[in-house]
Amino acid sequence: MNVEVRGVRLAIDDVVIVHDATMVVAPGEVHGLVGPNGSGKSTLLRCLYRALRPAAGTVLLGGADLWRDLSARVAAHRRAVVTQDATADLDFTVRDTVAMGRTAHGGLFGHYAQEDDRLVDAAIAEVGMTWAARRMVATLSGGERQRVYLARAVAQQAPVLLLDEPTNHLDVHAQLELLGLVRDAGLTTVVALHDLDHAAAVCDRVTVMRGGHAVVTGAPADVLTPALIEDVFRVRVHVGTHPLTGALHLTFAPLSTTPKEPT
Amino acid sequence: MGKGLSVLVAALAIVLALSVLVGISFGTVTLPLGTVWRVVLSHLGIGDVVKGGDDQIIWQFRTPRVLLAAVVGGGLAVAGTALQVLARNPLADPYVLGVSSGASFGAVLAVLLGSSALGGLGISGAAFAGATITLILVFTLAQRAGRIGPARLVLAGVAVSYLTTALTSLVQLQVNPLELRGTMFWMLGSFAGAGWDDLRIPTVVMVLTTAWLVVRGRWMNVMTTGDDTASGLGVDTNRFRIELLVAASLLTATAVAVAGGIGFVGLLVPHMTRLVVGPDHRRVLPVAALGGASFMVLVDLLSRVFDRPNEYPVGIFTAVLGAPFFLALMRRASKGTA
Repeated sequence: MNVEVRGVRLAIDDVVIVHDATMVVAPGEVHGLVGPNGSGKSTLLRCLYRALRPAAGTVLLGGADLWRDLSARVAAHRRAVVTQDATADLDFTVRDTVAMGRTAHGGLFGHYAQEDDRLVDAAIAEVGMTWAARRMVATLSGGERQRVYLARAVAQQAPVLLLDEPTNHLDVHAQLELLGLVRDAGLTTVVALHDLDHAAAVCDRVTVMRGGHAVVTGAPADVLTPALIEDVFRVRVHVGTHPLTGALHLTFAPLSTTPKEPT
Repeated sequence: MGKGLSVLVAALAIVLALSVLVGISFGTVTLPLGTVWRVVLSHLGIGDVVKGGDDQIIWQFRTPRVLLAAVVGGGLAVAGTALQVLARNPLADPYVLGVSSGASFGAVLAVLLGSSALGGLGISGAAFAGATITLILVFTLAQRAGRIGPARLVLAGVAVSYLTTALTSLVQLQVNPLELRGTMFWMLGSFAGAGWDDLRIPTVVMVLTTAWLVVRGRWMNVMTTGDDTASGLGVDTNRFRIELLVAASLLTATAVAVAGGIGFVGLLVPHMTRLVVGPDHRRVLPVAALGGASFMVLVDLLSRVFDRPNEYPVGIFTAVLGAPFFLALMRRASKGTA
């Protein structure tokens, strides 16, 4: 399912955060949203998960207008979300938490069908958390919790997956493991990422945001050039190839750095 | 998860039935237990009809009052549960939104001016109107650009509640001492003088609203995970918050209109319930409703037998029992956020 953002403007309490964002996410691709703090990545994502209504512009999910054509419930059949605020209530078990992913599919009386049970178990297995299904989320590590929230999104069975900086506060291993799971899920994915190196390694295409504008969209190798990164992120960068994986690899230094002569 | 819950609900229903029987059996006037039972059974169509004053005390005064206590206690517990989800604040209860103080203001105004001045509203009607007007006010103050923020809602409720409390005090100083005692009693809550007629509307409101919220239990669970997550999972958070607000207000306004302002039940009972059955609202709601009902019946009994033959407002006892719990909860909550 493709995602189209057309001329979206977003404001919180009359302060415009996103001025004009346009981007098209092709079916099946992993699409990164990168940009400095305050560039509007999270705000744009909040609009995609229907928490913030655009002041102008449209968001289309598979051709249907997210705000005009789709109810909150039907929107949840099309896109699932891993947010940054997912820490509020940890008193639920892993299984109960993942089962919340079936909320928009439940009947009037909120009962679970057998199909729901199966999908919930499968989602927990997919992120490798079956061993902890009966544990309280509060007893898990940050990386494990994030996997549980990913499982909840997977259980939603939506073709589009949205993630807001899912690797925050995770250790290196957990970061790579989570991004691997996101890729393996095989869904149309929009992920806001702080780490440009992760974005370069994981995303098929990235959109760079600056000051509430979507500046450019394209394959990481084409977009994440030294000139653009220097301009947008105000750091010096070396673009190379990862010696182990062969993927695009970025290393950073302060702008004031004078490059050493190659030896 | 169904079986354990059924057993618990059945057990609590039995506890409630026993509480009601105990509540009917004891009171300001001491009657032989045998008489009490004969009267109750006769009205259930078993045994001979009992005539005279005993029948009147038990069937016309005690029974409806005890049943009303049950309905109001259950309703306030459910209202508190909904408000805690709505405000995402463990300390929220019907008092926080100013509903109770608004109702009190309406009631004392009716006492001062007489019901004819308020278009023929009785004290209950004036209380209901006061609660509803307060709520619309709080609601209007709390919303911004069509969205209701949990923090703004609580702040608006507290501010409005201070205002109506001040106005209530002002009015109380104008009424004569005899009426003052009446308004005091009313502000602190009492089931004294309840008849069968007072029972109908609260019972219908309580049963229908609770049933509706149980249906919405999954959404209530999702709401506790944060607005963004809830939106992602398919809940229209703003609309659902309004739905919860309407349900909680309806319950509170109805309860306050018939029984006055009774504090702490809406705070105490939901929390104790969550300690026992966990955070799933499909379990919390029925258990809190039954628990709140039993609790209120027993507190009402306490208010009648504490200093016989005098009766005390139930609000005094719920506050005495509830305040220490509130403080303990607050200390725990602030530890968690520090």
